Amino acid sequence: MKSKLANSRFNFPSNTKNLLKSKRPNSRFNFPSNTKNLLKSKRSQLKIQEMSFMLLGLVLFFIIAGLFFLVVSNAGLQEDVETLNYEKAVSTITRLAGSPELSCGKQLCVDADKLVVLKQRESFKNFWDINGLVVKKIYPSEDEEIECFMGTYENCNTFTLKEPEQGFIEVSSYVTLCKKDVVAGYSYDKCQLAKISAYIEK
Amino acid sequence: MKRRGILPKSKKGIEMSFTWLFAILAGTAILFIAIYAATQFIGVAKYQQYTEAAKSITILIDPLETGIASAIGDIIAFKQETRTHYNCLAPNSAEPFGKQTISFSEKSGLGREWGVPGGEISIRNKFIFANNMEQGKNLYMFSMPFNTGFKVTDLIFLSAEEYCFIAPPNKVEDEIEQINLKNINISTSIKDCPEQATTVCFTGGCDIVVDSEDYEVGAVIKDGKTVYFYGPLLYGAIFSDSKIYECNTQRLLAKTSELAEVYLDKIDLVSIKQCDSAIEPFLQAISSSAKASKSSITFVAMADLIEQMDKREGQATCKIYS
Repeated sequence: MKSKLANSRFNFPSNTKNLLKSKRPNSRFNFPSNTKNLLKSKRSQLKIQEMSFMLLGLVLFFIIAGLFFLVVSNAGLQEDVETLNYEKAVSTITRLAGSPELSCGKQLCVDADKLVVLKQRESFKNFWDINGLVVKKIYPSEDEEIECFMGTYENCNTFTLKEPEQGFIEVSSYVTLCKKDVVAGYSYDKCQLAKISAYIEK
Repeated sequence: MKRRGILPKSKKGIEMSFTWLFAILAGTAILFIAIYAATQFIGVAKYQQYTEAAKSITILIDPLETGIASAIGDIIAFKQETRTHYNCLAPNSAEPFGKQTISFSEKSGLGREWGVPGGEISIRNKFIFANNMEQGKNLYMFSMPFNTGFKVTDLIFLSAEEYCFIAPPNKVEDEIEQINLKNINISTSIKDCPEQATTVCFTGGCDIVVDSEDYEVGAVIKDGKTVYFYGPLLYGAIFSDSKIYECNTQRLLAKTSELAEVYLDKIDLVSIKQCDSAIEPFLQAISSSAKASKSSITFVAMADLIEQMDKREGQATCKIYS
């Protein structure tokens, strides 16, 4: 069946129900009288297109702006983490000398006897929230660096409690390093000057 | 008979419907993505902020570790009401001293609803006694050294709630006065306590009841559960919930056992220099009973042993831990 309208640009079936119809009286399109849906003009189409492109543009702009903000804020986050880690390390190093694991019982005093024992104990390796822990005797000074073990204990100068990993920064403090000694049957604490260093992420 | 197509044959007609479809679909998709991205971004930012806050709390707690001081008190004041969440993991093969976690959240958004807590910050070298969740504008904290002859650690007590200690014994009263925190009140009777305060009694019935003769060792009854204390663990039993308390007690037992072994090795080391100690059997007994037990009552059982060891250490010429 064909449309009876001679100048129609479209041929629709007579029972078509979902066709669009222009509201304008001088429309270029002539549709069957029983068409129910509306047909927008070219001008409206253009406006819709404009609007969709505008929407797309706007969203793209916000995405780019958001990405920029994310990059900036992530840089800030990294900085915050670094600051917090540094603060943590500084506070840790000042507390470490006084901790029961290392302390000789006096303020800023480290027990060398405990250090050499602790070196052998795996359980304490991850107890301190740091990436390396070293205690070095600095006075009286010695030219050669000798790591302390049970066998080298009397002549050593470095206690590596947790091996520092590569790429970490050092935070240190001066402490007294004491060990038990006996002279003429009397025991006393023989003390020297040392540096305690904690290693943290950059 | 030829069947006609439903769609119009004209290209312009197709173009028009595509534009509509494009506008609707693209618009919906774009708006959905934009809203989704915005909510996700806000969520990520909040998570980051809360995680940083939790990390900051762990750093703010650091100065509480007293070193050689007897007790320190302090307050963390927030701009608005906050929630700090605490969790505890008992010692295991991977974590020989167990660990604790802290996470943080606050009210946010239009409805001022509680946000999802941020990332959990793990703490291995601290023993924090608090309820599972502390809510308030101020977080009150204090610390006390914990000794089993030798110093084991500094116990940290955190609380956002108000407490009222009714007629405490002199020892407890002195300690509370020394800490000087606003959230701990001392009162002679329950009537004088602030309405919202959790009451702590040393005789009689209250929210929390302390059952002890000398307040060095004893039991604390809270929420119908009984936990045992030794020394400053009394405050841990009062300020933390029983689950966190028992978990921290296990962590403390693990550290006590390890430190006792460190001192045993030290005795071996200094004995070469004829520096002999008489505390070796006590340290061995403390280490083995701390390793074997997983309950707060162990410290009560060890109290006599600790006292005897301390006496021997005091008399020795070659001192190991003092």
